[in-house]
Amino acid sequence: MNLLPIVSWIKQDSELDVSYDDALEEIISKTTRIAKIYQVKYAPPEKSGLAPRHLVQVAMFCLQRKIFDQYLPPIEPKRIRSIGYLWPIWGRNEITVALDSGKLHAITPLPPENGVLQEREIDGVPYKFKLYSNNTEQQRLAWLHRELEDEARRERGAGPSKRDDQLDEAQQFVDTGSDFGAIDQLFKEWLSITSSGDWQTIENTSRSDTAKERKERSRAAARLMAGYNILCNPLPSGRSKRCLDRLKTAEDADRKGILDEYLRFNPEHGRRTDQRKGTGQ
Amino acid sequence: MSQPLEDDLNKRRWAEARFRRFFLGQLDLDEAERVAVAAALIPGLSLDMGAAEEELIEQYLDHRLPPDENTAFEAQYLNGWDPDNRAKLRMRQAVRSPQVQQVLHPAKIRPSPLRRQPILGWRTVALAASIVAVIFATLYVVDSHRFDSLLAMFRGRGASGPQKSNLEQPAGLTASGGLILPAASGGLNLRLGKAPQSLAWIVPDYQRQYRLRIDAASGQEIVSEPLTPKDNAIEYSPPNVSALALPWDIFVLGPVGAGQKILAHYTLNP
Repeated sequence: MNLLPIVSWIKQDSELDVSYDDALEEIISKTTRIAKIYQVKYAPPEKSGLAPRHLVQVAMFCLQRKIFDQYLPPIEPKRIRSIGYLWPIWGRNEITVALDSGKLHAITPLPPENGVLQEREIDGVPYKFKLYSNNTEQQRLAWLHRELEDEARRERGAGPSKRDDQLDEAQQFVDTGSDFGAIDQLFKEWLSITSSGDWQTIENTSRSDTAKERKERSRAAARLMAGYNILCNPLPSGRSKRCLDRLKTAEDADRKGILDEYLRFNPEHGRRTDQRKGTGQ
Repeated sequence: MSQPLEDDLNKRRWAEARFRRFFLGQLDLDEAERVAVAAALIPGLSLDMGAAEEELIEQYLDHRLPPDENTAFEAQYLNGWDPDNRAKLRMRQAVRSPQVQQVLHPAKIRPSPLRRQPILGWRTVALAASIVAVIFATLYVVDSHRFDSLLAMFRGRGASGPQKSNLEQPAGLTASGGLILPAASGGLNLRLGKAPQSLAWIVPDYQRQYRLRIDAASGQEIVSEPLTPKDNAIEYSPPNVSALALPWDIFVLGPVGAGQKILAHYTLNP
């Protein structure tokens, strides 16, 4: 799942030195908590096939398609496509909306207030609408949250959990939580496939850390969590197993990069996202 | 201060006050959603929330949560549906483990246990008592001579004159003030009024030699000579015990010749 466009769109105001990996992780970690709540609210975990982090990625992907469909709207002889409800750049001071008559209408200039009710007469017909801008990161994230809620609703009754599929040969450990000998062994394996630098980074917790230090900690924690999931909750696609094989033979210094790469393309988009292509538009 | 900033500040305070109950699953869904959204949208608050969660996990591992919060924590992080929660808990446990500590601080090994046991908790006492009971019962049944020799060993070496038998010892202690280290793999916290005169440890293989290492709070690091098991146990009397201030980190190393890996770790608190 290539999320570069949506990540760039959401983080368009960030400093230039923020990497794609960092930006993606920041968005996901901020949004995963909301995803969990939406799942509990709309799609009980036992009925949903997606982990919260997966759900965030799916929502990002759907939002990305909505945005970029507007850049490249399909042209059909007898259909005018609705392209007006989300626009990537507010700064153009214009937005095109589709009217119920099938016509397009450009609203310009845009109202200065965000989300305030507007009343306009277009072709003699009164319309009421609200326009939400997206020129701050907060507003763009709010779009993502809305998409996330829609995705969670669609997840309701989406089918059995993937957990059954995950018990494949790739699973190295079953973390039952009670067998301390097994947990010791898990720690040993976990350490051997992750970077000691990441463990060093997360070792000390301090509220007085600078924002940069805390971001580094958050990133290191994400890599370590990925290592844990590779061992305990591998993806059925086999990607975890392949990554595990690479990690086992890699030098300590190289493991960060491998896990970064793993995180970049995971959690897998797999069946669910493929099934969903063409929906939600 | 402008209105939006003031609003943000108020929202931040409102959300921060609910972080703990959020993680413990004690908020209703609507309130939890508002907290999560605030954390996502207010700059820096998401990282603060992450720090608050880490703090909560550390408190759990240190047994500093009140009983109701402890129960709620375990429902969320050990028995809940979200695998991320368990992974976060495991990560903080792993950081404390001897395996990770050995890598991070090879020069000075001072690992903390996975989850420190409550001081003189019932499990510790019961475990130590069971071990002593099993050892003595087994030895008594199998070989009364070995029983005598082990008893003699526990009663202290090098003391002049006959030892007064003290049949009622605190669990895990020998008559001479020696400490029997209970079985542990991940690490264990123990408490003793004063530094013990000797340490005894039941070995997994009586044909191998082991070492004990003591890192005292006063800065000394003492490593025993290779200790040969007698009656399935090694015993070590560190020199000049009175100078070794508690707490001690005690490591059982061995077997000798097999890389000297740490077999068990104990923290002995006053």
